[in-house]
Amino acid sequence: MFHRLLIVLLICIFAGCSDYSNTDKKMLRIAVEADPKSLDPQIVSGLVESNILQSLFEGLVNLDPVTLEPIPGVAERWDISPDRRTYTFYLDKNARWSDGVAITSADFVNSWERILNPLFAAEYAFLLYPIKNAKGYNLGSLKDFSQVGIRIKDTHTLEVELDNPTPYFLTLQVNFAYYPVPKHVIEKHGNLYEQNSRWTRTGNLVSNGAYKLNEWKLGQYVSVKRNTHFRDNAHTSLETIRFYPIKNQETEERAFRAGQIHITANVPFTSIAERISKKDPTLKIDPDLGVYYFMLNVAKPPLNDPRVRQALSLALNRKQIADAIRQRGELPAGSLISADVANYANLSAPLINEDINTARKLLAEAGYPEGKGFPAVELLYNTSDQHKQIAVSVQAMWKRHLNIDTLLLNQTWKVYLESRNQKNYQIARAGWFADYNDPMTFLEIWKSDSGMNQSHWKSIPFDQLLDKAAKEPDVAIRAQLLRSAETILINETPLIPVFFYRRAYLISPNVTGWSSNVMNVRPYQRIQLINTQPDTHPKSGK
Amino acid sequence: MLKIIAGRILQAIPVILAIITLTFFMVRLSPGDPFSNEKISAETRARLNAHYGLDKPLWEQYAHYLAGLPFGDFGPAITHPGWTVGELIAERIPVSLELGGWALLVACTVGILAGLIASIKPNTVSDWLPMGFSMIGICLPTFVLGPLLVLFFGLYLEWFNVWGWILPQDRILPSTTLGLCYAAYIARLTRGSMVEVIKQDYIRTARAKGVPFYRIFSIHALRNALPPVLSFLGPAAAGLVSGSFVIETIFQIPGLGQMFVESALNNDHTILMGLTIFYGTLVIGFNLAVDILLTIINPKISNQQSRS
Amino acid sequence: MSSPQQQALRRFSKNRASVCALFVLLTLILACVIGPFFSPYTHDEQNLNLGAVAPNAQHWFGTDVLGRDLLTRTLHGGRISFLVGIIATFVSLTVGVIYGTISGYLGGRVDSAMMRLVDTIYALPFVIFVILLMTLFGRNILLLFAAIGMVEWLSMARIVRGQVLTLKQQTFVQAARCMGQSTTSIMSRHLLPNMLGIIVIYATLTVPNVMLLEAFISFLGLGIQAPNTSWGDLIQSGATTLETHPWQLFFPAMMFSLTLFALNFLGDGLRDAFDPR
Repeated sequence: MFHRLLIVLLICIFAGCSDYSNTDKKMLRIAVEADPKSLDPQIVSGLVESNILQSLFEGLVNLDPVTLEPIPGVAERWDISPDRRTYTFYLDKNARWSDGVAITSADFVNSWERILNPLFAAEYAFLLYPIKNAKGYNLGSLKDFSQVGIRIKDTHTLEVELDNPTPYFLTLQVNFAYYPVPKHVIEKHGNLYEQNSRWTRTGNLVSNGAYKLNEWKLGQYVSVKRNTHFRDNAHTSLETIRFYPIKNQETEERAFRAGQIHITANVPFTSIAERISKKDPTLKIDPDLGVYYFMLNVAKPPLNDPRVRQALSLALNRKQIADAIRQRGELPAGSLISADVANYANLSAPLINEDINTARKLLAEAGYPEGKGFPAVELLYNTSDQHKQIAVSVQAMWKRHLNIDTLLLNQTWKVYLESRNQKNYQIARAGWFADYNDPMTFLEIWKSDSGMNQSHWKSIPFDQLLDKAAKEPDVAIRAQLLRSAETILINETPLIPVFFYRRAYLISPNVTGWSSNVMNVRPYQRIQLINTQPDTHPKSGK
Repeated sequence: MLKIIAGRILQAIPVILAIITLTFFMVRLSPGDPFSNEKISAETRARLNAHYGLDKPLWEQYAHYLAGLPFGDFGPAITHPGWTVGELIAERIPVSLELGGWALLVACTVGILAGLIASIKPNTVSDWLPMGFSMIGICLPTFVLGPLLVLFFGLYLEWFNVWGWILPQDRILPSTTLGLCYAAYIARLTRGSMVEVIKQDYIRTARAKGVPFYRIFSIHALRNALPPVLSFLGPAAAGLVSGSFVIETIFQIPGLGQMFVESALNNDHTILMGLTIFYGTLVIGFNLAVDILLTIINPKISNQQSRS
Repeated sequence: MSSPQQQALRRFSKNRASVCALFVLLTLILACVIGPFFSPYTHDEQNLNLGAVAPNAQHWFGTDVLGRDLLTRTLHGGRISFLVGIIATFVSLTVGVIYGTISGYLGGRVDSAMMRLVDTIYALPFVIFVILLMTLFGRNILLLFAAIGMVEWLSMARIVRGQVLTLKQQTFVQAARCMGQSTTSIMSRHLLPNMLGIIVIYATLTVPNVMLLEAFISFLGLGIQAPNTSWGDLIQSGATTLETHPWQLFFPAMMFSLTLFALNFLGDGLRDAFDPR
């Protein structure tokens, strides 16, 4: 009796397989690190959301995924005034929302009003601050939105006035903060300025990109399908893209090896070295606009002495950390801004290198010859195996070269952030990724009035250089000014740069048309799936 | 009997209220808030706190939260705008129930079987082997056992998917991993009480009467050896169906366990509170159910229960 | 006629599996305590140029990615694991026994209220508790585990209470009460010695539980602070290099499993010895 039941049960189980034809050539499966927080481009702030929203929305201007040159988006062309402070965008008359409604310049004005509105409390509203008076409106000091430099010239012409010439303004348009949102849809689901709105749910979301939302199952996947109303629908090749949130990197890697995922978000660091040595063709390592650094709390002795801070920085063997621990060919960071950052005219030579003798000399000058009498400092990092390994090796380097003791403290992400916010740390591991492709994104957080400067470090000359650079229309002169500011920062050492991040991920040989760039602009429209080899293994699901 | 049950249910209300209160203040007093991240400015954070009413005095928020509960309002899911906590939990309950159910089946099958075999000849190889096997689950933490099973059955033999919760056979690896870590406890309890029961006179009588060996074991002895297993299963089952963080992380299963831990790590207090209430109710409910079951099996315990 | 303790000892020494388990356990503890002194390496000595190498003549258990000797680290981790296991168990026993005895002996409303408190704490989200403890005691792992002992006492309290409920009906306790002995003296002189068996047995079960708990906390990344290590921490990081550097998982996992096996067989043997029914 029992046996018969078991057989029936087994048949039922394996009959389930037949639903899953071994591969759907029109569906691209991409892993993302987590569930997107929301699909409302004006609420979100992370990489996961950016990867998904790029398929759903587009801004006025796109960037070519290979060259990063501005190419038409919703705007088919644009004019820039000679003083580089006024942009006129001419909208594509074919641009439509995925519900078929035409997109007009009013859509952009309404969208940007929404993200800047203080009631809405959008995290990334600051990205619109280059626009004239946008900051004042967002902070509540200016109540009249008509004062903000965004004007409707006619239904398909939009004029944007900036405070300063901003060489990166066009590239800002690919950031989700600049995407238009459909006011006519959002208002159907409640207040325009309510974050907790159901307009982003399956069936409600209306977007303007190459894809539209098909299904969003929290914890399982976000599925998007071809948007037939898209202005450039003819060039879309994939019917469906599915984004799977996979939080564990080892799980993700196994899913890739089993053929269940085409593109991963990460590679477990434990397998990178082996993949590199085997010349694994599925491994991709791309430059990224980010830097790994240690932040020093200059209010806490002994770190209040710049000589001590410099000694700590000089005693680091950055190359060894990058090579032995990160193992993906990352460059040691002798400065804050990497060579991949635009508008910086190759000014990225290292400003600091390993120099043990100078480090020892500086430490002795500061009153701690051979580390004698140096009070142990505490190094804070957030929970992660890599951060732990880096912290441990830094601890050992400082002990070996300077004979000083470091205590390590590991805290979970939110607790760690709170320690930083409260400036309740001595040395903290940190990372900074560019919000836009320009040196300014790395430097402006160190200004005296920046809410993100958690080091207690202040420098008037540094602030003045940044202000001067912001007003400078000539890109080369601006770059020199920014470089001088960066030099001050590195010399006074409120931070110790360690290495420049690179992004490692796996991509299936069945994916063609993929191209990568430092801006993480994804070429979804150009991707095609081919079958060079069995894509999925026989029993894999969709 | 009914009076006892009613009494226990009445007692459960202040317990759940205490759990809610303690969790609420514990999570709100822990450092950080749901909005903090590397890039957010202090002003925006303050504004977001105001947007969600988290800038009000703590007791006021607490009162507001309690006031919503009777109407099934667990508040908005702060880290997932557009969803309510109720929706999020409701969507994941079936997944965790299913995973927990299968795991319970694995745990009981392996555990009771191993315990039975071991108890036939205590302190011999036929005792140590099954007991040793059943202990694999606790000697190898789930975050080791899970990947090992995946590598072998998923990637090497290619029998199963290595991840996901879509196909029926996707259930097998996670529930085996999860079940095995409970099997050891069940095996130990079964063996222990079986060894005692077998020494009893009625078993000897049954043997003398020529009742077949396997019948004595499976029916006469087992029935009387189960109470300790049952009282272990109460809280264990509550833990099983409320999800396992490690298993759900390794297999990327959309269950409650992952949500529980992540909401705790992210200071996501509305989701955490909702889950805590759910879990607390489960624990109390399962404990009550086990107590009732035990009373039915063995009236001697019932006297003690009524006194407590 | 010898005392019950002596009888138990005699029964215990006849149980081969348990004696063997005790021997293994003592060997492991001894190795962890004195082993690192004989090692040419220290637990935090790095060799970044060496990196992760498989077991060889210089490094019997191999090295990790930072080039640290795994044998030394495993032994060092064992010290921490045993220490936290013992401390947490000690705290949980002390609190659990006192709480359970009072609850069971006093009975009635007091008992009911005390048990509901146990229910409440039992149902609290454990992770939140750990995070709070980590922020308060994060810098000192021993304090953390003392704190975890404060949570682990719940089941001990339940078991002791159940024992007291039956014991207090027995004649010798009632006789003591009639003779006018104080409550505390009845508890310490009559109830406690009679529960010694179950307490010892439960202790051997709590130690592995705490060690597993420590492993889980390490999986969350909340365990011991680097460069210190524990078995849970080693196994956790070994699990991520399962395929590329299997030795990083194998050796700590082996020691951990051996300990758990030994503790469990020891617990069984003690139960059989103290409780010969």
